[in-house]
Amino acid sequence: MKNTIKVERARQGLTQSDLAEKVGVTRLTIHSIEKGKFNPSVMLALKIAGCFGLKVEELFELEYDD
Amino acid sequence: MISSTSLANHRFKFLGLVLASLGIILFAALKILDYSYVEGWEDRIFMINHFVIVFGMVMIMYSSESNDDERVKFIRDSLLKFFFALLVCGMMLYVIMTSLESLKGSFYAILYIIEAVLAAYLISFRISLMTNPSWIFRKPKAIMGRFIVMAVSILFLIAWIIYVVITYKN
Repeated sequence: MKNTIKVERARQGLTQSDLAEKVGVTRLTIHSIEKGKFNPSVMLALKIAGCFGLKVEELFELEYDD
Repeated sequence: MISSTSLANHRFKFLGLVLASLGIILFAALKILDYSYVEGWEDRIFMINHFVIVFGMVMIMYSSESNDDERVKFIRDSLLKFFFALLVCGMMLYVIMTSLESLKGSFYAILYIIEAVLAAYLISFRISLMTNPSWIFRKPKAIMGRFIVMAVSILFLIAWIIYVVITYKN
């Protein structure tokens, strides 16, 4: 699953730690989601999208092999 | 997935660490001092000592992290599955080796296996939390292949049992 968290984060001037604090996870969790290593739950995806004022489908995108 | 509510508060981790460390220090001290005891008491003393070490490590294992988010839970679940299988395999292997008389059986060996697996789990968990290895998050593929290998291995064991029964029966 691809995502544009890094881009949105940069656009809003947020660090990984800031975003992590807002959604209540660790910085490393945000890092692994950004890198595409870890797929977040629907709840966490909604929280992250909500932080950027976006819909989940605008932030996350399925890849061919998903 | 193990929820945070089924785990102890993260502060118990430090208590577990203190207990396990004290147990290990005591064990090392008793081994170095090498006292002789009244018959039967050496086993009792060392058994309680091992219990303290195992209990301390289990306390660390079942304590939540300060921020126990879904990545932490995922890593914990993956590693617990692996190390549980490792513990079962280790014990089975030891029982088989002792029953085949290639090794003298000892109750302490079982305790050492448990302690080694617990220690390996705790170290791997800490390292995985820091390094985020991608293999932990990867979805398992080729499950069919694994089942075939397992089925063939079990069939081989059944064939071996039948062969041994026929060969060695009186």
